[in-house]
Amino acid sequence: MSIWRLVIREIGHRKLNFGLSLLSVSIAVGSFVGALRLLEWHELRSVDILAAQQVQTERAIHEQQAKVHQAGAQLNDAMRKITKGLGFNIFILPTTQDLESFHLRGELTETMPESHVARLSESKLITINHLLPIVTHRLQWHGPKQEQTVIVIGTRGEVPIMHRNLKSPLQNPVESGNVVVGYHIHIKQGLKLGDKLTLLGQEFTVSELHPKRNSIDDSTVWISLATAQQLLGLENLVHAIMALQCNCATQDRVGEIRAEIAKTLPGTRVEELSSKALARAEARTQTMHAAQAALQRQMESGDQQLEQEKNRQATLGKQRELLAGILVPLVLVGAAFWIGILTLGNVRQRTMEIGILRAIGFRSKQIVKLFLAKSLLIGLLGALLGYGLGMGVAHFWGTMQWSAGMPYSEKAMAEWAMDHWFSPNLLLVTMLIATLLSGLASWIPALLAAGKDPATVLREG
Amino acid sequence: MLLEIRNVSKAYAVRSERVHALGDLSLELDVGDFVAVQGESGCGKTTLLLTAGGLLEPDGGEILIGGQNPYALTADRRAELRARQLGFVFQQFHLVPYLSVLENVLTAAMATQQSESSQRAEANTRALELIDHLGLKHRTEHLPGQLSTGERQRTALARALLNRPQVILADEPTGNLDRTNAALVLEHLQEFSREGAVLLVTHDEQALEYAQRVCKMEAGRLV
Repeated sequence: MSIWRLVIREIGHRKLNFGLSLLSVSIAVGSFVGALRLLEWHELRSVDILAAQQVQTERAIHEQQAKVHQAGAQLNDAMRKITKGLGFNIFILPTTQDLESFHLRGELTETMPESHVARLSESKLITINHLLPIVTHRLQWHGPKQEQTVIVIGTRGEVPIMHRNLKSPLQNPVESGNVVVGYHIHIKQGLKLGDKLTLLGQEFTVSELHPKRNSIDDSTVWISLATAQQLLGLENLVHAIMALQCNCATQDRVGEIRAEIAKTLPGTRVEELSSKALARAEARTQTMHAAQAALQRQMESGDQQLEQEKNRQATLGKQRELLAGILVPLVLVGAAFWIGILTLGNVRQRTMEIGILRAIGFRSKQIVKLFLAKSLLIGLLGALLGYGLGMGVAHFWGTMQWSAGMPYSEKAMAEWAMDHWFSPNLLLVTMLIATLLSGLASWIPALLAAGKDPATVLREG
Repeated sequence: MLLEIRNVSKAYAVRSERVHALGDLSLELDVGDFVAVQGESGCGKTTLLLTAGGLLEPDGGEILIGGQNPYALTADRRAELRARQLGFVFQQFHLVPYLSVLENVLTAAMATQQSESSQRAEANTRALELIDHLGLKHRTEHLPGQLSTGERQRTALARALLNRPQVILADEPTGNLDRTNAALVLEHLQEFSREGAVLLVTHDEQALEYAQRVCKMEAGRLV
């Protein structure tokens, strides 16, 4: 018969003692394994949360970047179209022209030679697309129904720029004897196409009625330039040359044009008629800059949030490590103490048995072996049970947390579910710890048992 | 000489007094001796047996077992001497409650630390022979709790005989037995004494009938 058989028989005889010892080892090992597993869970979940948050932040930033880039591209395109398609309009005027009179009354008083138009058209200006020489006169007109103030403009239509292909004209010429009438005038006077009207002492036929433009054009009539020059006594003279749809690459477009015109037509000045399109483009540019700044702030904010989450997870991890670092040793010490008490109880129960075994010739080492072999069995079985218990509880708890907490990734779930169930190294470590725990806890009671004096036991028994 | 007890004395400290359990006691046992020591309770019979068995060191005098003084040996060597040369039988049987009859008998073999399988097999065979010889064959796998008192004592006797000891020390072996079972145990002790020696302490008159020599003990001395 071997020591092991004797131990196993004794275990079978005193099941409660063995069961309680096994339970305490299992709880201790379970706490250890469970704590480790939960710390792994925390690590896995932290990585998962941070990865998810990073992906989310990056996605938001990318979306924002894409929007800003798209908006920027659209703005650039719009600006290009605005400045190139619509351009902006300038008046080339004699330097002596009083601008206040022009702005307040729409009237031009100073003239310049009509030959300026030919010089401009023959020059190699690249900033001007259309040239429109005009004479203008403000008058109180006695119309068919009532008297009203009108602006008479004499125009000959667009003058082609010689070095370029002919573009579609922005304004058609008015034939001699015809008149084109602005909105307020034909509404107030009840004019229709083909009607006759007298202007500056000459009869004209209405050839075109303009729709409402909400500008001074609504109070304007257009006649042939030559006729106007003749009626106003301004032969070979013009008040202004309108340059329409000017293209400039730089933002200081008027300066650029002025520089070119000054070279070609000394004694003239350039005034901008309208800058609405540019204003809109500038506004859009500002908006784009604001969007880019907001994007930058969002990126910085995302980085900050990510950093904060990292810090939060790290702090949480440290707290859990600290808790495990305190709790697990406490449980281990408690379990060791409990096993010691149980073994001591077992020694007391077996006093007579130990006495008789010593009497028939058992050596003290054999008695120690009896108790240590039992503690080894308790340690090994307790390690297996505790491992399963710790893993099971941690897995259950962790899975519940996964299910309850968002965000989580399929990858992390898979790692949690599959890869961490069984670790041979951890099992070996726990078996080592459990047998050491059980062995150390049983050591002193085993020595006490071995030291029992058989004579005393037999005399008292 | 198998057992020599030479001028042995032993005293216990009881409270502040010393009680002399053995006083200058001498006794010799050789092959064929069956010595019964008779005396009232408390006269020192058990102390004599424990001292002679190498379990209780005397204050004075000398014990020789097969010519060896057990108290001159280390504790482990003394245990080995007990395992190989002595057999113990007690009034309370002192069987291990969770071991079967066979296993209880074999605990004596464990004490000799038989490591080879042939030795273990031999011990097993002898244990079965003894069990059969003592009329316990049908009880081989039974636990002590399932045996009668006579069967328990015969199991204890089988354990004492397993290692072929030279001396059996029996402390009131019939104290808890009826006459029939007591007679059976005493017959087996008598049988053993033909090849060895038996030192039996008792106050049972029946036991004296089987002894070759009877010594009366009073206050720790043989009279």
